[in-house]
Amino acid sequence: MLSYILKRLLLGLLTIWFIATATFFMMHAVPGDPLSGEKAMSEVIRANLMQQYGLDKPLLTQYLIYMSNMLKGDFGISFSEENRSVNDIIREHFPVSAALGLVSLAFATMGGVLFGSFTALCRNRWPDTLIMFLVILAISVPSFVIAAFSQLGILNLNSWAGTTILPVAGLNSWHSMLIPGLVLGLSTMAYMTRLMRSSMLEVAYTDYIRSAKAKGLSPARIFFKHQLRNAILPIITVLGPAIAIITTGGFVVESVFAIPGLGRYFVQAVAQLDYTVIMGTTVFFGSFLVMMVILVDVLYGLVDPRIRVGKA
Amino acid sequence: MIYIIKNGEAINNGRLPVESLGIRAIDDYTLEVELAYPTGYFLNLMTFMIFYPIREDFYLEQNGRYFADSQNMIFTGPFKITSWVHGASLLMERNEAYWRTQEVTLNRINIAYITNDAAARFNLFKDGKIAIEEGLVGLGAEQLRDALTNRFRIKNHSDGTLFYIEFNHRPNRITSNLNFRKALQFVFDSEELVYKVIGVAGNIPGVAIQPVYMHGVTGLFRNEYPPKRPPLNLTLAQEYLTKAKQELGLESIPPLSLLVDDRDIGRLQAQYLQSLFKRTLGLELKVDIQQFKIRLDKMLYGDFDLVLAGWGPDYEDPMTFTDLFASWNDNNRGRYNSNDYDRLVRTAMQTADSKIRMDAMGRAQQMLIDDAVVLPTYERVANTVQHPKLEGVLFKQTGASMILTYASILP
Repeated sequence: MLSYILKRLLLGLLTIWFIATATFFMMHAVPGDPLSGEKAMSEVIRANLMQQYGLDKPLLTQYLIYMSNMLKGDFGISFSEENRSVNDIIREHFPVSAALGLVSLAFATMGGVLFGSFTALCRNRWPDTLIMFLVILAISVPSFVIAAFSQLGILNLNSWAGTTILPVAGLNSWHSMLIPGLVLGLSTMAYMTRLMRSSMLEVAYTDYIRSAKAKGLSPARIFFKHQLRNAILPIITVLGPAIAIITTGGFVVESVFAIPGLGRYFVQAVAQLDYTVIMGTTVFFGSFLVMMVILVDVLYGLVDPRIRVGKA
Repeated sequence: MIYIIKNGEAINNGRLPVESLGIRAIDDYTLEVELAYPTGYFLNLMTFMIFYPIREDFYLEQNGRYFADSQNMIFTGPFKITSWVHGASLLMERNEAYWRTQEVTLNRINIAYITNDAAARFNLFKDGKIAIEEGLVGLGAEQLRDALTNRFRIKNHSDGTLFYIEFNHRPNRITSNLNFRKALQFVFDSEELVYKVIGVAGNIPGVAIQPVYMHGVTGLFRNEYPPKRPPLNLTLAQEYLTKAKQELGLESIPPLSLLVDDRDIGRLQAQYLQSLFKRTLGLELKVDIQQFKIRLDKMLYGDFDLVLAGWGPDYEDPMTFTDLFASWNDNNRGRYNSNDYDRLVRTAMQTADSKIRMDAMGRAQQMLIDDAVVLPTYERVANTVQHPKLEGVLFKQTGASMILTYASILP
């Protein structure tokens, strides 16, 4: 097990290195640079600034300098936010994204497992059809539409009640996270519902369930003890990437609900060609994703003893 | 711009030491500025950001974190930022050090929400959480309708920005041909674009490269130097096009590229122009949609035929728009190059006589029309909603737009 984890970690490092390198060179291949702005500057001033930021050096030298700084844990200073270091940006905004992400992840997994099992139990009857219809809706309607509609919904709810039941936007208390969390987790919840449903159905026709029924076990015992535990495996598989995507990918939701998460930096940095922020957020997200995937692989063994790793 | 100060240019190019700059502090409250030549708009120029003073000792104390957080800031204005949660909220309080602090009535300004989503800001207003909203663009057509239905107090103000279709004047380009540009000018109707295509109330159809609010000698520049625009004429436009084809030695005009920003308003205008020039002149436009920075880069290197560009004033003088098309200006990304135009700009730059200056800039304005250097599209106006008890909020066209110095809350 230990050697397996070590191997995975090593591979993970390689992946992160690859992400960093690819991002670095792709980013520099995009026309323009962080210094270009609406007001043009003379060649002399431009050259001075390029020199100050080290952008005049050959790309490979810049790459080496960046990589060695990154190894020291220094992501540099943002080009667009005055004198603010990328480390500060990540330190201040990631916890917000992570908290929101955890809320939506809780919604997604609980909802997914619950609705998935439920639809499997009443397959091809009307609750199944209804939920599956909603699932397709949740997957196909983009999050900015859902976000805008739900904000409008809160607004109408508040004006109907004549008081603030739920905040329209902002991040002032724990319940300002509820609706954004739900919106952010909705498509993952829908996806997990589908996954759970098909996996439950698959398990339902296996030999061991048939034996359990033949033994005369109660349906509740069969469901919880045998069916659920075996069927939940695919959910754990998608959990790793889902954690990473949800806790970092809430740009639209953050913008609509005015939540100061990391997502907006991730997106805006690209538009502003803010090299250091692009690199910092990408490497950070990349590492996070890799870590989660490894964590999930390790978790497999705990949930399902049939999966033994490291023993060839 | 900084070259108006004596030795400014030489220092900037590294030919003279910084100490030789024509600025001296005579005593604690007097600054003496020596100019390179008479500059009629010097005082207006001083409101531009780059001339703001920086307190050296404070700057050095911050150790490279100057203005990175609220504790790294220093203020001379009516309010100071006392708390700043990045991307979330700002708290401003009255600045006792402001020289007219007794005229300021607001004690605290709480910017509790920061988002670039205009719909979210409008919803916060509807929910009674904010008294006024401000963004890069105002309310959209949809929200404006909603605000009208709800009888909200709507205020509109020009943010000063002027938009136009800029041509690529680099020699090998089709758009460098005057008759070709004239052909487009004679079919392009900025009123139709603003009223029917963009459709947000308040925007003003473009007529010239001087906005409607700009001041001239004594009154408004627009009244003193009314731009003479040729009326639309399809027959004439087609004649110009035929002439252009002859001069260029072309059977037909190959598809031209129209560079626009990756924003709704950019796409909307691009679609309209594409169909307009196709319908009237049989021209093909290829729309090149790019993010802002990439759009600027492509403009800089001349990788376009037409581009939807814009300019906001740096200071309150027609010069901020006039010198945009001088051959030496780095912002002249279409590379329009005319000795006559340059001469007019120089005249206006280097005299203190207001009449001579404005006359020159009036002629320059007309030249941009006669030469069809650019086609003005619109002057942007932003609509915002305000709480009925909030009084005295002012907006200006140059610099930061909202002024809360004289704002007050009615009992």
